[in-house]
Amino acid sequence: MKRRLFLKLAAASTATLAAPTVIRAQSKRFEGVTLNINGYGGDYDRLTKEYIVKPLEERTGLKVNIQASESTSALAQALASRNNPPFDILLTDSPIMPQLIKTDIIEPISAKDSPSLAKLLPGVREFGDFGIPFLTNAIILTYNSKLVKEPVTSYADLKRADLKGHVGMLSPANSGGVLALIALAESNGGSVDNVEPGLKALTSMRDSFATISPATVTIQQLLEQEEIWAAPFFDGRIYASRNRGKPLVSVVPKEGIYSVNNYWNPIKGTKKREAVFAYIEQAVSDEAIGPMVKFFRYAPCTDIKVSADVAKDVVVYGDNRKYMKPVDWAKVAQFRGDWIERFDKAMR
Amino acid sequence: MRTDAIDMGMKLAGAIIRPLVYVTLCLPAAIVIVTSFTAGESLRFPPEGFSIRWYQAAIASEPFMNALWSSTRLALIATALSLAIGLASSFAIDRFRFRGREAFRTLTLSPLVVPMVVLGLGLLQFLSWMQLNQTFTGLLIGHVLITLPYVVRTLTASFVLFDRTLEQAAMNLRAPPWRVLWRVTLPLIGPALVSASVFSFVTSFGNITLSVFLGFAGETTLPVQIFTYVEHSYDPILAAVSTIVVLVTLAVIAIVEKLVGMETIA
Amino acid sequence: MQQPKVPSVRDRMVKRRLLLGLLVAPAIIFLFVFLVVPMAGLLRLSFFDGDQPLGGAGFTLRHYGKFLLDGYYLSVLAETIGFGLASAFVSLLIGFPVGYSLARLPPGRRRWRLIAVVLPLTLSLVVVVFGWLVILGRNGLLNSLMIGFGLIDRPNQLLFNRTAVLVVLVQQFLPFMILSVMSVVVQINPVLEQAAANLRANRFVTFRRVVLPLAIPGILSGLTLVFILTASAFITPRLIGGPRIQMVGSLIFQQVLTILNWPFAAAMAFVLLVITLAVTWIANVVLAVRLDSGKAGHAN
Repeated sequence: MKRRLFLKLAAASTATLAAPTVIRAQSKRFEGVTLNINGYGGDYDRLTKEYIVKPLEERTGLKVNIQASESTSALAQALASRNNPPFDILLTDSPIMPQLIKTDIIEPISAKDSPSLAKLLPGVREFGDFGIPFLTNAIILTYNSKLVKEPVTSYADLKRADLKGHVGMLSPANSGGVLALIALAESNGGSVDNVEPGLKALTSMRDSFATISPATVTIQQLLEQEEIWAAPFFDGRIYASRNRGKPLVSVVPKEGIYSVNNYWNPIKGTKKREAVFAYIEQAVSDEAIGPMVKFFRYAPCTDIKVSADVAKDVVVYGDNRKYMKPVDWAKVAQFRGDWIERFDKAMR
Repeated sequence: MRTDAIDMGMKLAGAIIRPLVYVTLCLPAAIVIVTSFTAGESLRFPPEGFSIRWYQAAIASEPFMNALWSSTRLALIATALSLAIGLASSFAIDRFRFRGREAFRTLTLSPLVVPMVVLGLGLLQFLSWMQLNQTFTGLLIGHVLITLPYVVRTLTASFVLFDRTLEQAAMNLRAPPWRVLWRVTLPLIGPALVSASVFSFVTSFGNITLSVFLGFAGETTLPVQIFTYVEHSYDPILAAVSTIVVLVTLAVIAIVEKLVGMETIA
Repeated sequence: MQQPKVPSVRDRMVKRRLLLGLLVAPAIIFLFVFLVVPMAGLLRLSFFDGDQPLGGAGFTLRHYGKFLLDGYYLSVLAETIGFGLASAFVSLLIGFPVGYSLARLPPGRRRWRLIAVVLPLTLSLVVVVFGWLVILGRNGLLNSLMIGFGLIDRPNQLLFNRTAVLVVLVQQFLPFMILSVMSVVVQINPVLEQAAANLRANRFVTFRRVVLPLAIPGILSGLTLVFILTASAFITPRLIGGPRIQMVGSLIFQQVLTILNWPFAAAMAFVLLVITLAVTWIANVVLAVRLDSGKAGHAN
């Protein structure tokens, strides 16, 4: 009797001791947790879902909702309801970061909090501990090699007679346009504090322009339609058109490469800190960044190594990063409204 | 002789202008639809080859299909609410003489006068104060706001045309008011109801601005999805998605017509 | 047989008032809460002293000053109003014949044409602009056609000028004009036109003396609507306008979403709103007069 009771007890207690392990194995770390983030839409969101969200969900049960929107309207929504943030992570690019920091709606992350941040390239973070950059969009030059016989190598080349009436330009209402304006300013003796030389250069080139647009898509369509033969444009978009068979060449301008970074930002006051950090860890992993670089051919902000086949189309990769010029985004944020106004007036 | 010349002139002008207008209205749409069948990689016209690959891509694309469903659902509910409020309002405007009638009418039409960006901004601020900015309700409110004026316009115009003697006849035959409403009034303004709902559906479905401001995670509408798509990518899936939208709208129009039982959109 | 109870006149009047109240209440409450109040909030925003999106305070007129005292902004405003008027009248000119014919067509033939008019409204503006870039581009349809017909020998620059923007704007809002005209012409009894024809009036005279006066409400309503929609447009000028063609709508969009100076954006928005309100009011005053007298003179 005693022995059987003992055996029963032993069996029962082993079962109870083993049970928690079984239960633990069945429930995932972030089961039942949902993160809300904003997305750029289109292929960005697709890749985010495929290589960040899905692996995370499989491994940890974390669900992520992506809302496609302009990042400034996401910012607007976040500002409009601080005590009840609509997003846990905000995706924006460099020009908007100063606003985020100033209005105090994002939290900094240091390498202490998140070891995977060691993967970031040195010097790639432009705002101290704020923001985790993952992809760089650079403004470089492009021209249609079928229609333009002599290569275009610099912004100054855009003034050439053979390009008259066929040059495209982004306006400073577009972040690409801001970069182009800064490029022109700095190469003509000006700076972010004084863009007048850049504006002068643009005004003197007026006859060269087919159009100046705030919309990236318009310039892209016109490049593909061969209305525009040369333009300062985003490296990834140039690659996309080239990949579709258009004879567009990517050129590193003599004046240097100016770029924006894309940042993941944890919102202040998010109640899901651990999940947010898990997301960011996945977001800077090679598993996530690799496919993004491969698809867009935008440059990575991490130390990931990409195959030579891909690297040849990534303009700002590896050694080429030395051609990148820094931009003081806080000053840009301050002056941009003024620049847009002066630009609009000058171009009228 | 002179009168004949003017007559001929007007007839000719009409015969030239009308087809030109139809062509102008439909040409961009036609180009987009044709482009969507390209076998190539880029959005160009004339398209390279013929293929339905981009339709396959569109249907396989979760964001676009979710957005399509979102937009349709939103437009249908907004239309239903607009019709309810709009019918009550236009009935009042037509059948009752009261002080401030003209002011009331102006009020119902006033959302039309406000620029969309302004509306979006104002609503965002207000709704977030009311804790409604991240809900379907908030988005719905915005859409009812912009569709209501079209409904009221269409219905008041139809009421002016209305032949009251038919209603009076029914009432003479001792029919109670609600019966008159159900069996005489509503059927007679049926075409206008169809027209109003089509207008409302199209307005809500195609709206970008408001939806950008009032959307929230999980409820992105199709126009916004397209609008954000082009910020970073550019390929014929856009043409395919837009064509699908045209087909969906045609389907909805057909269904509404069947339901109301009318052959005409007056 | 029992006599049915006849309600007193007073009871019926009260019932009628109650009914009226019930009918207008939903719209009044809805619009007051979700339109008037938010607009008031926005008006307050335009007076905030500051250049930030949210959390402003104070009171200042400087945003209005910045807009109304600057030659550049005034010229953009003038350009916007110009586009609005041009768009309204061009769409009247080409939309009226279509609206008229639609009103006079038998329902069967009318249906498909109506769908052709309404469907372009469902297309996203992004792809519509793509279509127009294809049509008006240097290697585009129009240029190819003109060269093919020998009208010109080199492609012309058809894009990035005022005409291109006007064409796209007109195409975008033309359906509204057509439908406004159609809904009013439908109310004009064809018998009147036949009577005029019997009296030996040609098309033009019939139009001028019978159709036009009766169609004025619809025409005014269409003009107002197209004007307002055009003046508020911002996506079209953003996508297809060049640097030389700027409209207030795009400026507001820029301020709200890029520069994030919302008080200034709100000030610009309110100036635009005042203008559209003024135009609407003028048209409505004329319309109200016509509406009442039109009803009395409506032939049945």
